[in-house]
Amino acid sequence: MSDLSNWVGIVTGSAAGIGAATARMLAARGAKVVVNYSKSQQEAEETAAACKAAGGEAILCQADVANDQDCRKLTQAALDAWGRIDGLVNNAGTTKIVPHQDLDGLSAEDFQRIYAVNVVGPFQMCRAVAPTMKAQARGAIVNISSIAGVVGIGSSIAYAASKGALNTMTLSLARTLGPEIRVNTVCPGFVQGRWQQQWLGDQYDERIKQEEATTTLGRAGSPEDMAEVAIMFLTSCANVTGEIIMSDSGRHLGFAPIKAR
Amino acid sequence: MVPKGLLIPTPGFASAVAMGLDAHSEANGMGAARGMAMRDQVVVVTGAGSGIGQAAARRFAREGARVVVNYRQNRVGADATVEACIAAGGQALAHQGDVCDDTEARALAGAALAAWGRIDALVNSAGVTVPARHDDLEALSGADFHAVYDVNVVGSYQMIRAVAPAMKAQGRGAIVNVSSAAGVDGSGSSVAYAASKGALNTMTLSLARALAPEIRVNAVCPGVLDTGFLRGRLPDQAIDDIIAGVRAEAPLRRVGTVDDIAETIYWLIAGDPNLTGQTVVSDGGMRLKGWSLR
Repeated sequence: MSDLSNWVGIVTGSAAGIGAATARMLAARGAKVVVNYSKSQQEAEETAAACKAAGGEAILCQADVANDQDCRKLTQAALDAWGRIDGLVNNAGTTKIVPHQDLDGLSAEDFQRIYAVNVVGPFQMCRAVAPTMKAQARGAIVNISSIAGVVGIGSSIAYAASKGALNTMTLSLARTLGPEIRVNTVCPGFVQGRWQQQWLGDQYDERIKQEEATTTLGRAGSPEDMAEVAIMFLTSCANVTGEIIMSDSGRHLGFAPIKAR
Repeated sequence: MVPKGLLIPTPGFASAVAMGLDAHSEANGMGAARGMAMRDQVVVVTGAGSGIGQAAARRFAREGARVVVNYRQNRVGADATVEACIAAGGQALAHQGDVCDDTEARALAGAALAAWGRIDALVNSAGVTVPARHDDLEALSGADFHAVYDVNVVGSYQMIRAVAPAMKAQGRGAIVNVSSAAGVDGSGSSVAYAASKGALNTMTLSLARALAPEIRVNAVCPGVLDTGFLRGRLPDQAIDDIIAGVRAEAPLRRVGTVDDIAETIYWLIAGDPNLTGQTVVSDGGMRLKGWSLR
């Protein structure tokens, strides 16, 4: 399928995980994608190669979204390559893993470092692409947030707070960037992949089983699941803005009883 | 006193009512009030030199509480708050400190313990904004985002961390974060301000979960108020226009006052002992609007 052959998007933090999946799945529909990374250059190159193999086009652009000049540079890279920007996925994010009851485990610097990437970065990227999208009279922005922002769980209190901020900022920006630009957000629950592997270590496999046993949908979310929602917001849903969707296997409905085997 | 005609299910209940105590409350160490009787309870209020913080300090003082009135720069306002608290029937002392500085946050908690040996409640009222039209994204810098976050979120976190050990040791404590309706719907004085209050609302949930069962953590989300918070940051005419608009458009046809918000703060601390992790919006019903063309 190549229904996106005239569609250009930037996916921040797309070396791996949800960002990489989003880039690849857009490319599979013929899209042109800027694959952004901050540090993971080799993985980003692999993602770009996968995009091309899937049937789309891709260029690489290194940029740290916490740095406003980098955001402007990343935006310009898309314009230099293809002259338009139809979509932006604010996927780049960071965290620090601190049990919530360990209040001394987080410093002011931790809070601000996480805020810089998870909130200031998306703001700066939205600001950078908005003039182009407004001039086109069309554009869609998707923020990759987390259910941590909705219910306050997650890898740390500082991470959850940053995602709460991102969720609220979705509303502010959706309101002000309309009518030309739609702004929506995906809140993943558990996502298989590197972040969780780092967090859980050798408990990762057991956690997958727990997700399958205790969520309403009986499955452990994948990066592709999240990419699917992001791409839905980017390429359809013309009447939807300021929406925040949870993709968490129904976790927010409460824990399902462990099913007898 | 047991009212005539009251059905008394058990002897234990009868004696508890006769003593003026609710059996459940007594088991939780609570006083005669449903939640927390505030006489002689120690309340730390940040940013209490003005606005909501000042009103909250007065409200608790009216019940005979002992209030630590924190200020960063507004010494004159803090002194006025102390006077008002004493006049209202409570005790109060002023303590200078910037909640963004963890050492000063801990010293503020220490001041309460040094003066009165306990901390029963914390009101995180210190807050800042950088005003900017939402449609002018270039008007905000990354530094603005971080400055607002530092006071509104990091400062609140550091204060909660500073008071938590005392509250846990006492087996009871209650915390209220003064947030904003902006955190709920993304409105407010700037995108950066709204984002910080969204973070504060989420952090209220995290900390409610982490500090239970001894400590309850809730938030109040005011809508537009006529306080000094905006006066001095925006032109007077702009504020007058906003206030007039709210007065005309709010379902309750009024603009909230700092004393209104102080009442909600008081209730969140002294009222329902089963309430934690809640964000209560007090906005004259403005959130109800927008769903019809009028």
